[in-house]
Amino acid sequence: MRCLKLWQRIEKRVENSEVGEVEFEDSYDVIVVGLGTAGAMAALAAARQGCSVLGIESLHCMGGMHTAGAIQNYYFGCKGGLFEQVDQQIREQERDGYPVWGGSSAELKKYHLEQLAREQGIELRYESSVIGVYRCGKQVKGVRWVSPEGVHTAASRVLIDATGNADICAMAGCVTRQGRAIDGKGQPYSNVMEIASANRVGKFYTDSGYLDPTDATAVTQAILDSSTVPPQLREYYDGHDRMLRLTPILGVREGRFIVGEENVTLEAFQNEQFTAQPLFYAYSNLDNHSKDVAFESTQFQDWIVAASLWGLNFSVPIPLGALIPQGFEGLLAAGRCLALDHDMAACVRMNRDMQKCGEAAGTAAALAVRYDTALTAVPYARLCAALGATGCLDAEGLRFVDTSLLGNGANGNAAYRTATWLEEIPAIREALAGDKPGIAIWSARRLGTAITPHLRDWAAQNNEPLLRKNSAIALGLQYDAAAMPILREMVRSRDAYVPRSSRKYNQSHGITAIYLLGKLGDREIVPDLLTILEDRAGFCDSPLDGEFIVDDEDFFAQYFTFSLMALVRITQAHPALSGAVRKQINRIVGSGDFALSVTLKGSRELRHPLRETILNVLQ
Amino acid sequence: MTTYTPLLIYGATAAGIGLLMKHRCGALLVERTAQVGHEFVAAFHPGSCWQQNLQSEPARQLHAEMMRRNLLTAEGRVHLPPVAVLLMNLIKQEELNLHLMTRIVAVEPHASGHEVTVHSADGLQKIIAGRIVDTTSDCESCPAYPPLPIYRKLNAMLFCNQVDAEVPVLEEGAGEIVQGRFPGELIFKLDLEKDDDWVSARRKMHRFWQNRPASLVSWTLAAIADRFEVHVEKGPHCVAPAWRWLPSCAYENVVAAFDSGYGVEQGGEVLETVAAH
Repeated sequence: MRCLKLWQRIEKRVENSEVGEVEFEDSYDVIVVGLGTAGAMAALAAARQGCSVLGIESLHCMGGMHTAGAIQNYYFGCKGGLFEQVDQQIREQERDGYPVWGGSSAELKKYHLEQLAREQGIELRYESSVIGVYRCGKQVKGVRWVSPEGVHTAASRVLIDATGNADICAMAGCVTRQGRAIDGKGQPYSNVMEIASANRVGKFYTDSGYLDPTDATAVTQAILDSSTVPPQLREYYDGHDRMLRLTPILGVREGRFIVGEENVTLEAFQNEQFTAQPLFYAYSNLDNHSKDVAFESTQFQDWIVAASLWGLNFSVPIPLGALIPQGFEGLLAAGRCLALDHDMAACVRMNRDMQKCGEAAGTAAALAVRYDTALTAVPYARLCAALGATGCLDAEGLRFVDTSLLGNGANGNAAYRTATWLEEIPAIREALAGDKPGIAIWSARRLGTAITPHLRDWAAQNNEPLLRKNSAIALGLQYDAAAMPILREMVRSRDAYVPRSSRKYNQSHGITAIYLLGKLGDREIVPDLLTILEDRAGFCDSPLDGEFIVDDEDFFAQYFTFSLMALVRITQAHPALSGAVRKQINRIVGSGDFALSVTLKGSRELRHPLRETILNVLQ
Repeated sequence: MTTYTPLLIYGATAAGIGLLMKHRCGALLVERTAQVGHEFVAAFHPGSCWQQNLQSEPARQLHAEMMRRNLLTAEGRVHLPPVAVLLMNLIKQEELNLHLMTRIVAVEPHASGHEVTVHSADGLQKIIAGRIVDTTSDCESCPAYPPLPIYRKLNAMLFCNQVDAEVPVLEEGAGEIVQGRFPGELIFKLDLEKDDDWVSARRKMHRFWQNRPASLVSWTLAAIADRFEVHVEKGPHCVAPAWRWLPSCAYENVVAAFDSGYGVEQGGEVLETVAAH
């Protein structure tokens, strides 16, 4: 094969070189790189369909964060699929001699995954890494990899990148994206430790900060920093919550994403543009761990800030195209690096769904091999049948679940109540008048101008304060200027009212109003926002919720960052204001002693400094 | 950009960190995993001979810190996991030059010593090293080199929800129980064959556990070690000119290994004068 080039990442740059003909040492139908949460299932699914499979893993076991990383519990995700069979076997064994915590015994899951892999003839190569990808044009042909025994080559019909960070896709020259638009940051990472207390074994972690997992220096620093803070580093170890181990893998929630043949974005979801050919459904809420929400996208803030829908779970159909790097053949991505945007990645990353993603990738790869077809041409009917047979693709389809209400039992969510968008005007009015207006606010957005006259009418109802304010919020989402006077009142009074739309992380009316006035480009609110930036002392005795806002600095940081972003948007809408406003902002944040931070989730001590992002915003 | 270091240390083992601390700016340490001191800590291997005299001041300080923070008793009972935290804290405070999650891919001769190719999240990179000291248990920098270990074990942390549970006694040949620092902190050690890989070792551990003796019935298998406990002959061994294998796992305990790494070159170029293995 004379067209072969070896693609490698060298000092952060992707380079390729002609290699002429290559005598591969081995040849496989499918090579899976990364045998973590997704990759383990990808390898098993491909082998189950009759493929020869090589699994290359940098750790010493299968399962990744789900086993070695100690996150064996399930936070939402859809039930069903191959992993359920493994979990069932574990449940039967762990009754005798294994501590049950979270979803299943991590040690047993490592063991069972490995035994299944052996039974199915998968060649497992631990403590190994891929260092190059062979391509002929856009067709991936194999890998160059290193194990404890040395450097090897192996040919593949299909290569599955389950590294979590799209390391292989990036190495192969695929287009990737990463982080949020404003500063490139993903979600915070965690450093998990396993602990034993008086009567149980468990895990402990907090969010530890932000990390670019594609930067080697940052990775080392993150490991050192997150391992040397309380409770890992204690002045005196007294046996309480005794450490069993620091896990050998950081809990990275977000890295690179491939740009796929199809891309799953929050904006498309909000506009109800869904694939008709899902491989599986992911299911969760927009569980972004960042507290500096003001720096997230407007799509994200419309949902989380304006409508307070943090706790609304929803299912997301994932098509095959979201696993195929755009323009490439013989290469799939599985796991959290699939073709998502940063916003949607907050939802599509949970253990159940990542296992499903792996199963879908392994099955698609196997069908492409069996029918000798391109990955983009794998017949959907056959994929659908194979994934439906294991329960990976469930029949329930799209759904929304309100996790603030105990419920009626949907797939994986017996505890919570199914939610539907409201279509009837009286039902929306009733909800807007109550303390759980989130679904009504979004329902109004869906109805668009058809409901605008009603919203204006309700916003004028002075005798129903919640209806008035919530209607103004709904109008704000429609860019209707009629919302402005009420929103200004909410800003000026620093309205501390917090709706109960979600089970937690609802946004106060004051913050919501600042966000919407920024979107509306309201020049009249500018003096008030500038006052907020300088009024740190005014944010004392703050309303704390013990989790999102744990001290006065947290509360002020929310007001500060939302006000700052609103001012940026307003000056973009009114360039004539820009000079004077920027001068004042620079006076506040430009001084050397300016500092602002938020706590990281799960901790009252660890803080994330915001100064750098703020200065970037201003530049 | 190719970087140069007079001394490249492979393995963030206790000996490797000791050696790095001795050389500081004159050395660079690279480690394949995210762990430090792993040949003891991640292997759940508390070690022995805690009474022996330590030669270096940094090792004495590390020992004292372990005592002060209640990780070590005078009898040599150790609470191992936080020892890795202490080592990481030392690396940070001393601003030592270390890259985790970075593996050596290849070593080639070079006019200045060795041209070493490493792989990390940044991709491939060349390092010119005057000398290499590999402190890993298997001499990972040279796959063809290492002799078979003397013995290997796979260890596991046990857990019992009865705080006052008695320490079980095992019959001869049924493995070994080691008491950690705190009540209920027990480590079970299972002997392995020299060529057991992770798959076969894990299978042996679970099969043993599922057929465990009566004395262990009230205990659960909480966590299996992420590293094998490996015993090899003490180094330094000569891999090639200016390339030594100083297996940290060969020392009695984590502080002794740190001490030996720090002091291995005291009194001259000890590493350079050891005969070829």
